[in-house]
Amino acid sequence: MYLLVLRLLIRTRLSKAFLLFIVLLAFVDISLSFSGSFGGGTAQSAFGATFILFIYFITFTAVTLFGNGLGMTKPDQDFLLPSSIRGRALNYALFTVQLISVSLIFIILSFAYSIELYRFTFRAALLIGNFAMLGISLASLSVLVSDYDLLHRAPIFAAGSIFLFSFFFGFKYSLFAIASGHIYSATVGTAVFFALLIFLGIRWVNTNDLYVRSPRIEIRKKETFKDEQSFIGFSPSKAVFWHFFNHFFSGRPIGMSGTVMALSYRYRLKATIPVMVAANAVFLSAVIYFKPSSLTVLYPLLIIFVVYLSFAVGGGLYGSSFSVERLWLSAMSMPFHIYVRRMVAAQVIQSFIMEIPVGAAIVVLAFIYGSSLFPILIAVLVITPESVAILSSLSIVSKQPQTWENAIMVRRIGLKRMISLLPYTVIMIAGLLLSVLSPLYAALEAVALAVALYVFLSRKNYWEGMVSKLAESSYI
Amino acid sequence: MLVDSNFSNEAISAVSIVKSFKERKAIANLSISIPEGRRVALLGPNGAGKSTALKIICGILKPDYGEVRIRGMEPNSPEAKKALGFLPEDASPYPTLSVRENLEYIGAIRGTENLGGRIDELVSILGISEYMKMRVSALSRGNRQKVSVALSLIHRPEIMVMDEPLNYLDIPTQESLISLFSEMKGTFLISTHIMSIAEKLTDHVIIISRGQEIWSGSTDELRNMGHGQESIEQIVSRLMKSVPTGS
Repeated sequence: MYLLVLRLLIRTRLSKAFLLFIVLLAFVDISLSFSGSFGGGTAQSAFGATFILFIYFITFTAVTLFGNGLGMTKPDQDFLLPSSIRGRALNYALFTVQLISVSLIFIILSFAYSIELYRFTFRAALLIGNFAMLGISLASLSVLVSDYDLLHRAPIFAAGSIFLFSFFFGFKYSLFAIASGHIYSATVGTAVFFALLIFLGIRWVNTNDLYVRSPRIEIRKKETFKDEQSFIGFSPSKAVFWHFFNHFFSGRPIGMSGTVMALSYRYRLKATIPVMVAANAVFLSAVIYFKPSSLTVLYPLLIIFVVYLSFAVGGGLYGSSFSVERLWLSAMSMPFHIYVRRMVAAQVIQSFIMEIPVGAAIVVLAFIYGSSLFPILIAVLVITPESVAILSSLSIVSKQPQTWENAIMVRRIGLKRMISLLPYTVIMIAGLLLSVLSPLYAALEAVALAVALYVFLSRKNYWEGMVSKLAESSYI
Repeated sequence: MLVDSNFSNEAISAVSIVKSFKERKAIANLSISIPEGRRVALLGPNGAGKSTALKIICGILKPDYGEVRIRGMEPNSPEAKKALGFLPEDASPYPTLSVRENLEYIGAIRGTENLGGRIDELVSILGISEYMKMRVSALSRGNRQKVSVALSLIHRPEIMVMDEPLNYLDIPTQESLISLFSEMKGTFLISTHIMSIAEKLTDHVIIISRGQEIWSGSTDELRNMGHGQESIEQIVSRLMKSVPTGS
């Protein structure tokens, strides 16, 4: 039965047409990546590198929300959910098939990305480290989407996975691109992240009211929903969004967060600490092997390494009781006011332990080694939102949120917080844009951005239709 | 297995269920009680809340208020799910699998005994034997509906909850399905807005409108409510219109 389920699951998720689409995308990516080698100039290479980023994002969106790659399909809803399936065999089968399908898609798509990385800056050790991280993230996502209980919440996890992978690639890509001197690519890459993040975030917040009464959550945890009013003010997935939003602005790599999140949930942190230590060891080895002599290279590596290490220590020490990553999952099944209380506690502790020292260290380094716009801005981005978060958190704690009115208050604070972050986003993008000397390159990137956004936005109706359809079917 | 003794004599029991989607109240204080073996049609105009009610009964939706039990058990309990056969409206089998693979897949997950025999039996009744190796995506809408019906019946459920089961089917297939359902033992709750189908498939009727029950009883009782030459469709229509607007 296991083999039958496995075989059929693969066939229901990986059609030939879908694979062909992925391969074609990869072909375009690679062609653009090598455009410099075929008579093109830096602009084309930068364009290609940037385009890869767009493709990743759009493809992940398509795969997770509209395709059959990760999300729950309509037939799953119609015939798998009403069945009384339980048990280890199905979970293993789902895990395996999701690992296979996700891995296949990402190996094909990340080929061009890895060529870029290898060609521009780094060597094999770092590449291996990168793929180790990718592998861990894939496994994490597979764990998430293969858990039958979590499968009920596939739309939430699909949306979460967009953020997870876009940040995983995007954040690191931007850093690597800056390190390798591809300032144009990095600029647009960063701008696209912010633009799409904000766009998706706004769209998500708007549409996510549909998720508020996710029936599976209510059914599974009905005993915790005695005060249902407390749940109305804020959906778990909105909380997830804010959490991801916070993650991004605090510069924490989401790929690793996803790993911790999944491992914490599944294995209750037993496996988390060794995995985190191992992952950090890979990065440390890469840095030692590579012996970066340039400060430009050192900064991004430093940020990644220090944050990873801090996160490992913080996650290891506090994960079992306070880890925000566990709350990310817990939020799916707990009343909002409880989520807020725990999130606040976690936020305060994590902020004091990790973000502020890391941000301060980066600022000090930036001043010691000479002024550089990028690390200062990153530091500002790290410190400011965390300070705001702490202040907000403390004010929430002092008022002891227990009711839905307080949930609305939190929402307002969250909104204010988001608005307070926007100027920094603009400063960062503007600062990087100012460093672009060639109008031609900037124009090329702008066209690429416009095309990508047009393609993405043109799916709006479909997106809305899909969300409405899911809401109507009430499986989300 | 926890069985609520207050409901244990009924196949399906829903008490005072309320369900809203944002501002819209889909179900407003609906109670349904169906003893074992009864065949009940859930009638109502478009948007009356029929599909929502069926999803709540099958445990796919949780009501905002109220209780649902299947043989005295929570609708999401494995025992209740095993007893239930649910055919959603516009159900869609896996398009990339063949008809046989669909049936094998869901049948295996459902733990169907003698799966091969059950598949042969169903495809023969539904007249889809010749399509067994075809992908579902290549089938007509009507044949896909037949596959969906087969998938909902694959595990030999004893309580059938079906949302517009005869949609998209040609008349001969409708007739063969009606005779299949007639021969089957068990409890039926079938949603439809076509009275003639309700008459053929069931012997009791619950009419709902705007999420509330407006009448329930046997088909004969319904027919006897007619004034003069009033047809059963006209009676149902009159009952549905009797619900005040905005309630």
